[in-house]
Parts: sequence; C-alpha cells; structure tokens
Amino acid sequence: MIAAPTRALFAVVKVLLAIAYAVPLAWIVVTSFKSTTQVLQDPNGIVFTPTLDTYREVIGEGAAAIVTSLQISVVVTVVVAVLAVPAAFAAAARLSTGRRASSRWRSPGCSCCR
Amino acid sequence: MPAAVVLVAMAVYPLVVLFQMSVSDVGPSNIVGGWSLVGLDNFADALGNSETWYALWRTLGLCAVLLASNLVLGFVCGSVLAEPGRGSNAVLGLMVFIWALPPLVSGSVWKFLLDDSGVLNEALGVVGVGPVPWLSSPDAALWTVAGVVAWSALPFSTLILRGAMLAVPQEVLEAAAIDGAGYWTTRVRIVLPLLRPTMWILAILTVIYAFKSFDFFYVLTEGGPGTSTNTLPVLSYYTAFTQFDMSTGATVAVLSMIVVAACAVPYVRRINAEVPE
Repeated sequence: MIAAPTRALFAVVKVLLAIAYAVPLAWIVVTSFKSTTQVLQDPNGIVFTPTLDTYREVIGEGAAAIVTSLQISVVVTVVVAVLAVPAAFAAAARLSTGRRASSRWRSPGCSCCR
Repeated sequence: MPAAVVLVAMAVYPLVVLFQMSVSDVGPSNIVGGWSLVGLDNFADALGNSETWYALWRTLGLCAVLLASNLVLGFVCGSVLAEPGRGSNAVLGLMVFIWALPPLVSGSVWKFLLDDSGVLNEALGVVGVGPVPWLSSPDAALWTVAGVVAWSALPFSTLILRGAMLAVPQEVLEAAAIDGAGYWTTRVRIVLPLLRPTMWILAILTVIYAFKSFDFFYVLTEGGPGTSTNTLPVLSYYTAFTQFDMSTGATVAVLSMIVVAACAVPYVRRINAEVPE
C-alpha cells in the first residue's frame, strides 16, 4: 500500500545505510591483507598484491593474547550466568509483588500493546 | 538473594571508593595508604575550573548530536527497515554486526578513514573538495567524533524502534489506511505517538550513553587537539591517569555520575510504568 516514490526513497535510504556501514568494514578487511610497507606507502590503495603475512604474524605472536581473550570470555560468561540468573529471579520476585509476574517479561519494545 | 547481595556489593563498592576519593586528597604518593579528608575542596576546584565547564558543554553537545541521530535517524531507518524484504534484513544484519564490533576496532578504522590523507579526504579530493581536517582541527574534531559515536549507536536505536514498530497492531494501520491516511500520515500521526514510551526510554539511554562515552574519544583524538574533545569522562580519565590527580579525576567522575543518576531515575520509573497494573 506504499506509493512508488516512497518505495524509491526507501531504496535510497537502504543503499546509503549499506554504504555507511559496509565501507568501513570492507576497508578494515582489505587493509588486513596488506603488508606493513604497502599500508605505509599507499594506505588508500585498492590495487595491491594481497598477503597473508599479517595473519601469520598475529596468530604466531598473538597466540597468548588470543588465549587470554578466551579465558576472559569464559570467566565472564560463567560469572554472569551464575550471578545474574539468580539475581534476576530475586529482582523479578521482589519488584513484581502485587502484579502479574508474567508481565515483567515483556520487552520495553512491546510497550504499545498494553 | 545472595546473588543480589554480591551484585550490589560489586557495583556499590567501587562507587563508595570513588566517592571517598573525591572528598580526599589522593595523588600517586599516597594512593596506597591513608587518604587525608579534604571535604568538598575537590568539588570547589573542579567547579571553579573552566575546563570542567567546557567539558560539560562538550558532553551536552555530544548528547544533542546523539539524541538527534538516535531519535530522528533511528525512526527513519527503523521505518525503512521495518518493511519486510531481503534488502532490509541484509542491511539490518550488517548494522548489527558493526554495532557488535568493539569500539576500539571501529574507532581505529574511522581514525584511518578520517585521517588528513585518509580515504574520505581522498574521495572528497576526487570531487574537488579540499581535504577537511576532520580530526586535526580543534573546531571540527568534537563533531567528527560525535558523528562516529552516532554512527556506532544508530544500529541499536534502529533495532529498538523497528521492534516497537513491528509491535504496532496491524488492525490500527489498516484502520488508518481505510480512513484514507497515506504512508507518511500514518507514520507521523499513528506510529509516532504509539512509540512515545519507547522513544522516551531510548532518549534516556542515549543521554546516559553520551555521558559515559569514552572509547571513541580515546581512540580517535585522546581529548585533543589541545583540549577540544575533552568531554567529562575523557577529562576524568586524563586528570586521574596522566596528570595523576586522582582525586580531581574522581570528582569529575562523581559529577558526571550525578547527571547519569538523574537520568537513570526517570528511566527506571518509565520501565516500571510500562508494566501494566
């Protein structure tokens, strides 16, 4: 039920959004395949011989950092799950006294269907 | 209950220490050991320092940019992406992916893109516009960083508003269509008022986000050039950890915390008001 000009406008907005969010992402991916000298000589170049050297380097030298990140994410997940789940129950039980408990589980996004 | 106690303790203890620091004289020489109590001297110093006020104005400027982008652009993007279709899904997925990237990563990408000889300036050069000193000019830097922060916050607001739009009952929209309302009339007269509670919550979250936004400033400008991008959290960090004036840093942090708390209260009340009796 949407008029054609509006549809066209939608397409324009979508394309603009896609550009705004895809270009930085593409740039970082492209740069990751350049060697350090290529980046320093011509940081904005699109034509270049891709190399996997930086990946080799990161996996070689950054192994310890990768392990540390894994450790942190595992510990954070466990601690959050162990603490937040019971805390959420406690909060839900306390805050919704006198109200229907189930109504608590609605997201704020669903506010319009009261 | 024990879990709640642990959570509260973990959240409150650092705040207590922060507050204690803000009313004591703490420097690198006595960071471990006794802190001498100086009462509200730090607050008087911080409030008497024009840099604190400049930082506050900059933070409010960031707030204004974020509010405009999150609410207005968020509403437009949410409307566009609420239309079903493969394109919408792809764009939304891309945006959420970017949103999930660590700010340090997306921030450093923008640092390269916005460099004086970066991609953006090179592209502008092609169409004949001279290089814009996005990050190196004291006048532009704050708004550039604000733009990057807005860019990274937009996916979240789009997601929230789109979700709220999809929850608008279809019958309401059909009724509007039968009454002869066009697309834009329906958006502005029907959907926007129905979204008001969501918009409020989003606005409050945005203000809180602006007052704690630190990582993009840290990556992109480190508060510079000069002091032109020192917002409250940035000022607090650099006062405490590069000038080693921990108590003044803590004081600035407490001041911005007061603002955040002032916003958090209506947020919690709104959330509770959302729950039908």
